[in-house]
Amino acid sequence: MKRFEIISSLFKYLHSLRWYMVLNVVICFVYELIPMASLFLISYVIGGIIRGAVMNYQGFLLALIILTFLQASFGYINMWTEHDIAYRILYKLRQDIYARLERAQPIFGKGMSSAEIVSIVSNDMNLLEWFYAHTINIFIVTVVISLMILSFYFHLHPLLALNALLWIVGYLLSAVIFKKRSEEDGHEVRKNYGILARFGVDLVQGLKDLLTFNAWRRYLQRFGIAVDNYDEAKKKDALRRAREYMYTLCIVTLLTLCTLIIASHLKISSEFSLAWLPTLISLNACIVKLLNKFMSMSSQFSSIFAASERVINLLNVPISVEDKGGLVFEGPIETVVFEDVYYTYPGTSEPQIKGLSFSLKKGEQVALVGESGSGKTTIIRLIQRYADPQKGRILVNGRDIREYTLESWRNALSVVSQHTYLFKRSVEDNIAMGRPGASKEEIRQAAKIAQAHEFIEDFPKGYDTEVGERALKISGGQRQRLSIARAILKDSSFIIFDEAQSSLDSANEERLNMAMNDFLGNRVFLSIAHRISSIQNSHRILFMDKGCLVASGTFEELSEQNSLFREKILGEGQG
Amino acid sequence: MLINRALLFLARGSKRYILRVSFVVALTAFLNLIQFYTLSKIVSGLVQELSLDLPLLLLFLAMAFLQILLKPLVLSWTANCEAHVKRNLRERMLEKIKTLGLTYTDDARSGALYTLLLDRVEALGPYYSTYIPALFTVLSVSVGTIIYIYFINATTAYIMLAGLLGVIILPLFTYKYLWSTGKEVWAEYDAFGSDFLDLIQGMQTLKNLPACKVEKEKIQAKAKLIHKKTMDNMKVTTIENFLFELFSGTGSVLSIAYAAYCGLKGEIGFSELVLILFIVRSCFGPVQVLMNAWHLGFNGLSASGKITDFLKTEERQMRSYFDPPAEKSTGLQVEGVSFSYSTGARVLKDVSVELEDGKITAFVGESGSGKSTLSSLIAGLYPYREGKIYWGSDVLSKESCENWQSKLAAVWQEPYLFNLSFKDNLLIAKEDASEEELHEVIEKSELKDVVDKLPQGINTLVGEHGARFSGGERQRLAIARCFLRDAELILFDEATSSLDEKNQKSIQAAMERLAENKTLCIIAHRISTIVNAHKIYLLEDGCIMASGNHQELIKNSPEYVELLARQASLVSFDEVGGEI
Repeated sequence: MKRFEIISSLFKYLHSLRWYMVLNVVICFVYELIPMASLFLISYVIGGIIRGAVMNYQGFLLALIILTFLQASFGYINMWTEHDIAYRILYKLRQDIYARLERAQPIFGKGMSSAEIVSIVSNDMNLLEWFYAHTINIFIVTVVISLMILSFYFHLHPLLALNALLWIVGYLLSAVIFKKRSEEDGHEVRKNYGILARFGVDLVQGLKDLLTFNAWRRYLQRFGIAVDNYDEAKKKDALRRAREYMYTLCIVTLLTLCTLIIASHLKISSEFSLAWLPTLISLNACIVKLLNKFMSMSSQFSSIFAASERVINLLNVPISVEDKGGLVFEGPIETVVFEDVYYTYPGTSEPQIKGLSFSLKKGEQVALVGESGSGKTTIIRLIQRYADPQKGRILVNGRDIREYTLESWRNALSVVSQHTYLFKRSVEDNIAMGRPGASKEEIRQAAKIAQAHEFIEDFPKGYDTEVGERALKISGGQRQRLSIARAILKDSSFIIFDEAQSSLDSANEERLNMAMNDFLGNRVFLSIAHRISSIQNSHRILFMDKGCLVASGTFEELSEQNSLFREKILGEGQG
Repeated sequence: MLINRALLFLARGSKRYILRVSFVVALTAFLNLIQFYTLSKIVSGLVQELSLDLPLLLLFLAMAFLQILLKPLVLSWTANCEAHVKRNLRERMLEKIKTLGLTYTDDARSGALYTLLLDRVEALGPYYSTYIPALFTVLSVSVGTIIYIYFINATTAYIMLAGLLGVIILPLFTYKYLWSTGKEVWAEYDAFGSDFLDLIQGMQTLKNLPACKVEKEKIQAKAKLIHKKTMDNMKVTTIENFLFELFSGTGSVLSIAYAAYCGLKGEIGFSELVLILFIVRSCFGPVQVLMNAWHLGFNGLSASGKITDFLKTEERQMRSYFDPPAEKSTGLQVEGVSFSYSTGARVLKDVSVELEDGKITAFVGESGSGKSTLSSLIAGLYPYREGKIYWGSDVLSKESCENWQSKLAAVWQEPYLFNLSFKDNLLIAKEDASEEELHEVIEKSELKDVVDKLPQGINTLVGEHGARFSGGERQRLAIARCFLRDAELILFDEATSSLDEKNQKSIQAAMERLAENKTLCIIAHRISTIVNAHKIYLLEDGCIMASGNHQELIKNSPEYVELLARQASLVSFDEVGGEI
């Protein structure tokens, strides 16, 4: 992405605050101007002494006291307004990113890891603060003030203005001269920090395996190398910055030197009053100070733009499913029909599902079986509308599911997948996410059906126990039962289990199946399972192979009549 | 001006680096002072004598030149200092993470731990490398300048001193408020970050739940709260900044103004006035740097509290060394071991088991019975305090834990995949394994087809949490690690229940190969895997309910029969088929 595009994207977010921004630029201008006015006044007075001018010295002192106070006050308002603008935009951006990600999920293919996304939302986003708070205003103010000083110099003598202009340009050239190296170094530093961070995360999260394999020390060494590389990159960056400083210091010294020489020369030809000399030197220092500020900003540019690009990319994550339907699905579900459905994952050529047709009706308990990659999970994704079929359609109660609003349709489904996520909050809150506002009694009832009530009661704090990081303290089977409880609480008319019982031990699975039978009633139940015990009792089995439905029937029918089923699902004939 | 004991505690071992930077920064400031002193002499000479003093001009250039030359040294020493402080801290934290061990990382949010290790330490660096040197410079060079000016005009010096002291002392008063509001901002970021991560990771699940809308509103409210808390913090910062400006304005502008006022009244001569005009700026240069550094350093200050707390977390030590019993026992012995996690009830109560050499031992029981905890204890991962664990002449204790762990290998339920290449993930178990060896173990652990599918073969990066790999594949990778390790004891925390038939068979085959001539301990979730075990321990609520081989248990333990019966009705078709 070009810088221009990035800047214009960033400006879009500034639009609603543009008058606020103008105000801030004016304030910033006054704030930067006051110290120059003070210095001008003082050096003018000092010059005046040599000229022997008579001046109102009490008024002079009073003016300076007022100016000093004004400067502090404008500093105060400037700092407040620039940050207020920046942080207002940042929170708007954070909200927008979340909303976008919510709509875009799941991101197929090479999506970013969630840790990366969070790092963009916290770290990169804070770099944008630099852009909104400290870049635009300083840029405008630097240009305006430099022009003012130059015209004053021109008024004194054109040569002085030319001299100052020359060195200002020379100073600004450093940005061009060092730009490429600076970007490379910045990139190198961030890259190495990324690697360092990855090793750090592994050390903390992989502790168990590292300890078991006595690999802690060795992994620590790897971390050490990552630290070395990072330090090396930082040092390289520091040395480059040192060269930049050396360059600008040279320019500044030359500016002073040339001013002295020109002044002494002009004096000889008496075109210029030396009484202005202290003023000139002081104003030079003011310009340099302002340029320094501007340069320290621009040294951040490469990081700011890189970060902005990542933020903008996140704001433009493609959305896989459009929410265009206008009907609100009110249920309950009577029929679900797949009509010649094709689906190909983005970036692949072979369809994952090829011309699939089948139907489900209320009260049915249907199992989907097939090898990994046969398209079972894709079917469920399509039902959930995580993706839409490229060809064919899915009808619910006789209407294409795309006619319903996403929200109302998803509300009609309860899906539990193998890795259903438990959120970092209490067990009770996790279950309650199935139906916000459910009573404690209802939550416990759902947990009982899911065979989760007993072990929850055994937790140290019962239903108030916090689910730990990545749910480590809760076993796989317990985690699945909690998510089943959540789905049951949701009480929708279509229940889908995608390997939802895979980690349950057999005793619990049996109890769960019995409880589920009572619960299901007139609901539609679709499940994917590998374990034969979980599919034996289904009313009907849909047997998938290579994206096609090859057979359907009861367990007995299929195991008697279908040799492929016996081979692939029952594992016969493989030794 | 903020130097406290906690901050010095964190910089332990890096003081030399901090002093070095401070010195060279102060030296540069001193050269700058001389440079402007010279400049003032040149200017007043030019104005009064109308001639450019060449030697002075050369001195001016020489001072500028020296400062330019020193720049690389200043910056590289600053970088070194920061690097040293951070490295030192990270090493101490990692050491702590290791000694605290799994009981801590289980309890604490490991996310918070690595933010502490990475970002927080990063934020602390500039405090030592920039703030302290700036403070040192102000106290030496700037104060020195003021003393010099005192001899020209005392009142001017007093005004300067007032401004300077104000800048230095001000943080002592604002610090408290900055700290508390800053901490709130950090906390808000942490909360937002961890909630955001949580929701993003769980987004697939969340989108199916009616809570989706509520959560969206909640996280957006959190984003707004960050703005609010930041602006609260900003209130303090801006007021502080106002006072900073006022003090530095007093010191650097009003002092000169007063001197000029005296000049107008004829009390100070022209050349002295020019001198004051120039060196006051030079004197307040470092003060400006200090004010800027203060904000950088402050970020670190708010981080320092959490790091200090972590480094001072109380450690739970494993029991200390004991002598193994005189009569040599065969097999690994667990004697009267009880254990509880840092919070909560006992997970194991007075458990004794024996893992016989070269045989298969199994732990069975319902989830939550303590069988996984027991295996982790045997692996030396938890600091057990009650009871004894030993094997021949080796004992498991605080002192001998590493040696103990070198004799075992384990396949855990959810093996962790490091963010490295597939190959490096195997090398975790044996650093110097040859290519042949690797291929052999890949073959043996039935990973060949997995590796063949990887775009760059065994050099493929496995990605965050091994996202590319299924549970079954990860377990096979862990088995491959065990092959490389060639340990005497293998712990196998079975996860076969979440796998399809094909994966399950592969794992079983690989495990059989692995366990040849080794002591094997299986934490079993299905009875079928352990019918052939030499000895089976049935656990319930952290106690051993029964033990014996499959046949014996069927005869003597009604609990075992019950467990079996419950499973029998669910036994998968192929197992039944196999027996018929």
